[in-house]
Amino acid sequence: MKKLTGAVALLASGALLLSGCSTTSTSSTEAGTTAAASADGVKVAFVSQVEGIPYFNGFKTGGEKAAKDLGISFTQTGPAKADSTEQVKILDGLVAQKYDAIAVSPLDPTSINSSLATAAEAGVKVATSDADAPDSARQVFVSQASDADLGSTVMDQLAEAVGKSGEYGIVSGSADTATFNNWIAAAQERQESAYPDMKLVGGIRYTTDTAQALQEAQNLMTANPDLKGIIAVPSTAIPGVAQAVQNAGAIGKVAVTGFGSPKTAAEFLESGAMTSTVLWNVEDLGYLTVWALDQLVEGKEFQASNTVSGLDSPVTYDAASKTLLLGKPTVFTKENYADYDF
Amino acid sequence: MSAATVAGADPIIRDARLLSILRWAQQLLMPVLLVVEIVLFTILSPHFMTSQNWVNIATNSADLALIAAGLTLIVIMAGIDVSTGFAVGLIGWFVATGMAQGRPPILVLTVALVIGIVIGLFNGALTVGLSIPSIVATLGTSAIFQTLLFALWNSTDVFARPVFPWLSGQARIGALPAVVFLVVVVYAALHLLLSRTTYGRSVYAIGSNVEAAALAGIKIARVRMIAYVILGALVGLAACLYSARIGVVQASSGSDLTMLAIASVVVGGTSVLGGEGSVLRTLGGLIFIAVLRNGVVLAGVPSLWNGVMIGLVILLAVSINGLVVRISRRQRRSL
Repeated sequence: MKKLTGAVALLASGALLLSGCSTTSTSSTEAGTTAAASADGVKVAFVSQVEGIPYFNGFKTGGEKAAKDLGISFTQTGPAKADSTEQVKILDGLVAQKYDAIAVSPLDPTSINSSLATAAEAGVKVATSDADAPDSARQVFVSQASDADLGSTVMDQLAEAVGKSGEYGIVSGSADTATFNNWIAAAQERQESAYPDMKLVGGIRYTTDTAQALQEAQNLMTANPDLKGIIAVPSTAIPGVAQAVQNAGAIGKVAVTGFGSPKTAAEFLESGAMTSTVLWNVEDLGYLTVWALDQLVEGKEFQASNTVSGLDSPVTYDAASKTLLLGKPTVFTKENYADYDF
Repeated sequence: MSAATVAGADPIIRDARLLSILRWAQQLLMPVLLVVEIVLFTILSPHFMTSQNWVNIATNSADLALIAAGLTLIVIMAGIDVSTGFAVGLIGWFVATGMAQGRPPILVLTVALVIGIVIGLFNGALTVGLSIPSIVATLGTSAIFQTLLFALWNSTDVFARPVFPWLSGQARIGALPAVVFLVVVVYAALHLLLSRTTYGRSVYAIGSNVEAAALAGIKIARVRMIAYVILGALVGLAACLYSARIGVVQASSGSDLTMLAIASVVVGGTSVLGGEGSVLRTLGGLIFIAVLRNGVVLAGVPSLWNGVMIGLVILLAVSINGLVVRISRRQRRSL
């Protein structure tokens, strides 16, 4: 018994040590500040959800480009590991450093609220971008694309690939992820109204990881030999579903599309197992966010439709929800995926 | 006098009869359930009884089969390992990265086996050396493996090519996937090890009664350690199969395997109380679960029902097992 207690104590201290380790490893990684000469000295910053991953690297590329075009200074920083308390600390630090405007992609929309309120009281312009904190003091939310647009674009892509008729399946992630469910609902709505000759078979398959997505896709193809397409919803399902199609030698017979970054889908776009993937252009999102922060600092109002010089299409603004919408989703295919680095 | 004898003998006879029925049910449960399941799915879906579907089932469960085989040894000794899934994910990351960097396949395979054995030694050292209950120890290591995998993955998916063609589900020998032969060899070897060797007898002896086994001169620590090393090596091999089959390693890779491996062993009829079981039973349990996971989709049942069915069968198997133990104890007391 004594031995057991000792062992448990040892394990507990080990766990403590482990948690200690993880706290130190979440220390922020400060990204380099754009060296652009800022004539009027405007300093803006963005706090990412986790720094160093391809997605937020893409955001930074766009943000730095905007800062250069606008002649302001831009800093991007974020936690090394997705950790909402760490993110709040980083935000507080930026407020103390007297940035003029700060945008954040909140990991947790509630715990960030008080920090955003403090920042706003201190006279800092605050915005959310990429993810929202609707009940916070943020003055604008820069949204990448609406769930409805993403869902219907994916369905359009699938319909085009399968010739607007036939059976298709949906492989989703966990059943309680609201974003996935919104995308799927929009896709199904689009199919029912625009492509009546298409039919969802097997219901929505919920999966937890790539291995499960692979099996579900395989079983869907076995159970429905006439299956013509599959929508892979989360980034974990994309490689699994595409791999299943590849393994079954069904490239060209079963089309796969989904919501994945060009990098996640690259291998399968190249092999033909995926016909396309739909997401937004994160570099443009970074560009728009920095532009919006600059507008806030300058005290300029957003119009219902705004022309941003660095972006191809005009950006709409919804005054009721204080949301700037980047625009329609971007479709990545074999032809253009290599142009993107996220 | 005679009345007393009858009154005393009656429950004993009744118990003996009940016990023989239960033991019989214990033996037959899995074969019967398997037959029922296969017949049912064949009726429900025209696509179930096809060679392609069976090839799918076999390749998808080969990695799980290897883990469950090794885990059986641990469970027979009344132990458990809940770290196998993330161990596969972690080793899978090294395998995928090694292959992506173009390292020689033989080196990648060796590294996978070595990491697997090190993980086995680590789990073994905690449970054997420090006497931490195996469920607590492996819960701890599981959390460590998961965190390590998360840190190594760092939001970048690693795409993997098969280490060797025969380690992927795509390679065939005759009509069968090559991995099936690998699984058969492993199960045959472990079956012989358990049923024909002194080591195997020691495993059962430890599971039945540790004190008695120690008194009989069995080196308990060594026997346990060897079992963890065998499981570790099999986990390493499973990681090669897994990364070849899925083609990508992410932060959640392998997570499913832990519960499925335990379920295969338990559903197969190996007693979690130790001392009883075999790898062949595990194979039966594994086939049952693999077929169930495949068949429910083909039959058009929402995948959520998988869990309910597997759970019910586990409870059934464990209850029969528990009854056998209780009645045989009562019988021993009254004799």
